[in-house]
Amino acid sequence: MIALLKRFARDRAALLGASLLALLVIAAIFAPLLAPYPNDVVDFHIQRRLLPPTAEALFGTDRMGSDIFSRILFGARITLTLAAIAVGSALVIGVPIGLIAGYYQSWISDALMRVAEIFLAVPQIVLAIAIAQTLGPSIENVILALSLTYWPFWARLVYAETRSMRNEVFVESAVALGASPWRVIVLHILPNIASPIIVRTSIGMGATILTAATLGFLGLGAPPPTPEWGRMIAESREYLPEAWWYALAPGIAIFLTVLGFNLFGDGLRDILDPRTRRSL
Amino acid sequence: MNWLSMVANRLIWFVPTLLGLLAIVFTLSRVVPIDPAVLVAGENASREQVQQVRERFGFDKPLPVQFFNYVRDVAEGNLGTSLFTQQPIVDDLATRLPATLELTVVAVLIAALIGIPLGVFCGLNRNSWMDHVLRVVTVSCLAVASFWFAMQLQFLFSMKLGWLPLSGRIEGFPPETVTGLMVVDALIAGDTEILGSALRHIALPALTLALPAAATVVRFTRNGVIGVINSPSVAYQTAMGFPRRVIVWKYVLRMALTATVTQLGLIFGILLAGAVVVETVFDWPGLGAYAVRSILQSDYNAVMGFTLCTGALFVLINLIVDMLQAAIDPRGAA
Amino acid sequence: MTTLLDIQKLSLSFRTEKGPARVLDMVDLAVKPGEIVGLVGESGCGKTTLARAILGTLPEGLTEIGSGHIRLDGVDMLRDGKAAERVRGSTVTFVPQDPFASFNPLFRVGTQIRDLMRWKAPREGGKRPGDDAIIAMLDAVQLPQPKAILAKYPHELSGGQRQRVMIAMALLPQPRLIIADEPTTALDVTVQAQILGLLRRLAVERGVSVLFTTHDLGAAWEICDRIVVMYAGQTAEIAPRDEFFAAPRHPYTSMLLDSLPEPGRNPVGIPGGVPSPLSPPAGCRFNPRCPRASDICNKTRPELTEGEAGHLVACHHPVTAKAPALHV
Repeated sequence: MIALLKRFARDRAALLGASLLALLVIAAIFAPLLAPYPNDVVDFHIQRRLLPPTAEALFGTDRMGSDIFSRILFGARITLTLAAIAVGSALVIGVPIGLIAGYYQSWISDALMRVAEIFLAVPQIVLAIAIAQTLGPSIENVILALSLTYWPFWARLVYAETRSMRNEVFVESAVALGASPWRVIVLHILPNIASPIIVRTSIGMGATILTAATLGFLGLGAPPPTPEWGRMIAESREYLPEAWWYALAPGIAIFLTVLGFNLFGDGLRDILDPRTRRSL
Repeated sequence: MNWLSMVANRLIWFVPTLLGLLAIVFTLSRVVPIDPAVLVAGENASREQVQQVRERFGFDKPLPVQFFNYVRDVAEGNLGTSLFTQQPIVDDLATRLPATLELTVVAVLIAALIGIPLGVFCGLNRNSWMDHVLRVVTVSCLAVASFWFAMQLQFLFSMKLGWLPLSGRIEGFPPETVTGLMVVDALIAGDTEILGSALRHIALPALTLALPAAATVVRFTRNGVIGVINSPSVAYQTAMGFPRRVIVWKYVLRMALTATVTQLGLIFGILLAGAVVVETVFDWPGLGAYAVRSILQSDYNAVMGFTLCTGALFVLINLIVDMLQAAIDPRGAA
Repeated sequence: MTTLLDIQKLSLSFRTEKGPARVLDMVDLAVKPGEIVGLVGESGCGKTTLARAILGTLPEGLTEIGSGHIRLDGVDMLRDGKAAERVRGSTVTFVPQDPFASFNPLFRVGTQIRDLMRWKAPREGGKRPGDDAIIAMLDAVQLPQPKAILAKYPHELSGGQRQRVMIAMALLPQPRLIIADEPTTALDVTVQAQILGLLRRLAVERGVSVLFTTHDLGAAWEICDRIVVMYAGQTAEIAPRDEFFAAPRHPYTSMLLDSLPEPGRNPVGIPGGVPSPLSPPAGCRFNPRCPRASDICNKTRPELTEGEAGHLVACHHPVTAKAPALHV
C-alpha cells in the first residue's frame, strides 16, 4: 500500500490532478467562507454590471453585477455534487447489471446487454439532452438524465470484466466448492474487477462534468440564478467581445476540474491496473 | 469467410437496435407533461382546434398503437412531418446530413494529419521532453469544454482579429448542389471565391471538433507505436540491418495504424457527440444543430428522426471500421 | 586463420530500478571463418544478451557498456554505429528464436524478403538479385512451392516453414557469419533436428560461420565444431566439441554434463540457483554452487587460461581427469 502511494507521489501529473481535486473540494466545502460576496449567488447589483477584473472582483462581474469569483466557488459545489450523484447512480444501476449479466450466461444476459447497446448506439449527450428537456430544467433532472444515459457504459465494462473473471481458476473452484452465486460475485469477482471500475470512475467524473456543463450551456440545467458553470458561459455569449472575462473564469474552472479528474484517473490506473498501463 | 458472418451479425442486430432506440425516444416523447397537440396547435388555439390536431396526428390513440403506427410509417420511409419546419423530416435530415458529414470529414482529416505524425513522434521518442509536453497537451485537449473553446476561437479569430467568419456555412449564394458538400461543390463549380468562403467558414468549427479527436488519435498512435517498436519483428529487422526509416515508416506505421483503426468507431462517436454542440455554437446547418433545436422545441418527430439517423450512421460506421480492419489485417477479423 | 568475430573483455550492464545488473562480465569469444561455435548456458547466463549486443538490438537507454569490444570483420560493432548498421544484414545475419513473432504479421513473406534483398543483398553486375535468387534459396532450404510461399502471410505458414524462411533470409545476403539464437526452441521436437541439420549443411557448404546459442547440449553436440560455456555472464570454458564432451575441465561444465540423462546413470542436478546479476558473488561467480570451491574462489576471479591446445578454462581448481567416458 505504502509502495503504491509512493509510486503515485512520484508521478507528477497524478499529483497535479490530486491537487486540483483537493482545491476543488476545498472550494466547494468552504465556498461561503471563501467567497468575497457569498450573497451574490442570488443578489444582484445592476449598477456594477459587466465590470472587468479588479481587486474587488477578481474575475469581474456578470450581467447582473454579481461577483463571478464568488459564483464560481458556489458553482464548484453544484458541479461536484451533481457529478458525484450522477456517476454514483449510474454505477448503482450499471455495475449490478454487468455483474449479473456476466455471471449468468443466459438469454437474460444477452437481453440486458442488448438494451445497454441500444443506449450506446447514439451519443450520450443526445439522449441526455432529450431526457433533460422532457423532464424540464432543474438540477435533479440533469442528474437523472445523466445517470439514465450513463449506466450502459458501466454495464458493458463490468460485463466484459466479469466474463473474463468467470473462467479464472479461483472463481471456478469457489463455484465447485458450492459457494452461492451471490457469494462468488461479491467476494470473488467484485474485488478483482474493482480496479478498472475505480480508475474509470475518476475519468467518468470528468466526462460527466463536461456533459453536465454542456446541458447547462444549452439551457437545460438549473434555472437562473443558479451559478452553474455551463450556464454562466451561455449567458456570456451575448456580451462578447466586450466582456471577454465573463466566460473565461467558468471555462477555466471546468477545464481544471476535468483535467484534475483525468490526471488523477491516469495516476490511479498506473498503480491499480497494471494490465492497462497508462496510455499517455 | 469470418468477416461475412460478422457483417451478417451486425445487420441482424441493426433492426432491433433501432427499434429499441425508437421505443426509448418514443416513450420519452409521450411521457412529457406537455400535450403535444397543444404544442402543435399553438398556445392560443381553441379547445376544438386542439382536438382537431389531436385527431389528425393520432395523439388520441393508445400509446402502443401510436408507436406501431410510427414504426410502420418509418418502414415505409416516412418519418413524419416536423412540427415546426412543416417539412417532411426525411427532407430536413437529407438537407442537413451533408453539412454534418462535411464538418466531420474535415475534422477527421485534421485529427489524422495532426494526430498520427505526433503520435508516431511520441512513440519513437518515448519519455523525451516533447513526449511529456504532448502528453500534457493531449490530456488538456480532452478536458476542454468544446462550446467554451468554440467561443474563445470566435472571440479571437472573428471578433478581435476579424480573420474568419463568426458562424454559418457560406456567405452569398451557395454553389450548385452536386454532392451537398460545399467545399467539393465549390471545387466542381470552379469558383475560388465560394471555395474560399466555404473553407473560411468551416475552419473554426472543424478545428473545435478535431481537438479532442486529435488528442485521442495521438494517444492511440503513440501506444500503438510503442507496442510495435518493442516487438520481436522490429528487433529482427534491426538485427538484419534494415534501414531505420524503412522499419519505422513502412512496417511500424502500418502496425500502429491498424491499432488506431480499431478505435475509429470511438473517434467517430466523439465527433458525432461534439457536432451536436459545435454546430449549435457556430450555427452550422447540420444534424446536430437540428437535433438541439428540435429537442428544445419539443419537436418529437424530428428528434426521433434524428435519433434513427444517428443510430443508423453509428452502426454503419462500426461496420465499415470492422471491414476496414479485416481488409488491412490479413490475420482476419478476430 | 584470422578471427572473424572477436569479442574481448566485454562487460555490459542493464540499468534497473534496483541498480545496475551486470549481465556480461569480461566475456571473451572468438569465431573463425567457416566455424560453427555453440554458445551454451542456462537461461539468464547472458548468451542472448551477447547475441543482441552483436546485432545491435539491446534496449536503448537501458544498456551500459562497461569495457571491451566486439569486432566483426574489423568493424567495431559497439562504437561505430554507421558501419555496424551496414555490416548487419550483410556480413552478419540472424536466425531468431521465435520465427513467428519475428515476421511482421501484416506483410506478405515475399515483401519482407524483397525488402531485405533491396537493402542488403550484394549487387552482382550492378544489379540486385531478383526473385529467381529468392526462389532458389527457398528451394535450398527445402520449402515446397517456393513461389506460393512468397505470396503468403506469416501466419499461413507452419512453424518449421517459418524457420526455414528465416534461414533462407539469413543466407540470402551471402553473409560470413550467422547468429542463430536458440533457433529451434519454438519448434516441435520432430522438426528441431531437421532444422539443425539443414542449418549445419548449408553453412558448411557455403563456408559461413555460425554462432549458435542454445541451452540444449544435445543440439550443440550435433552441429558445433567448438563450444563456449557461459555461466552468469562469464565465460567458463572454451573447447573443441569432442574434447568438451569427453574431458570438461570446468566444474560447472562437468556438472552440466552429469545433469544430462544418460543410459545406466541417474542424472545429477546442480544444487542452488543462478546468482542475481544485481549482486553477483565476488570472485568466480560459480563459487557458491561449486563443490571444489576454496577461499581463493570467492576472492579472485580466475583468468581464462589455455591448457591443452584450444581448450581454455576459467577455474582455480579445474577438473583434471574425467572418470567415466561419455556416450553421447
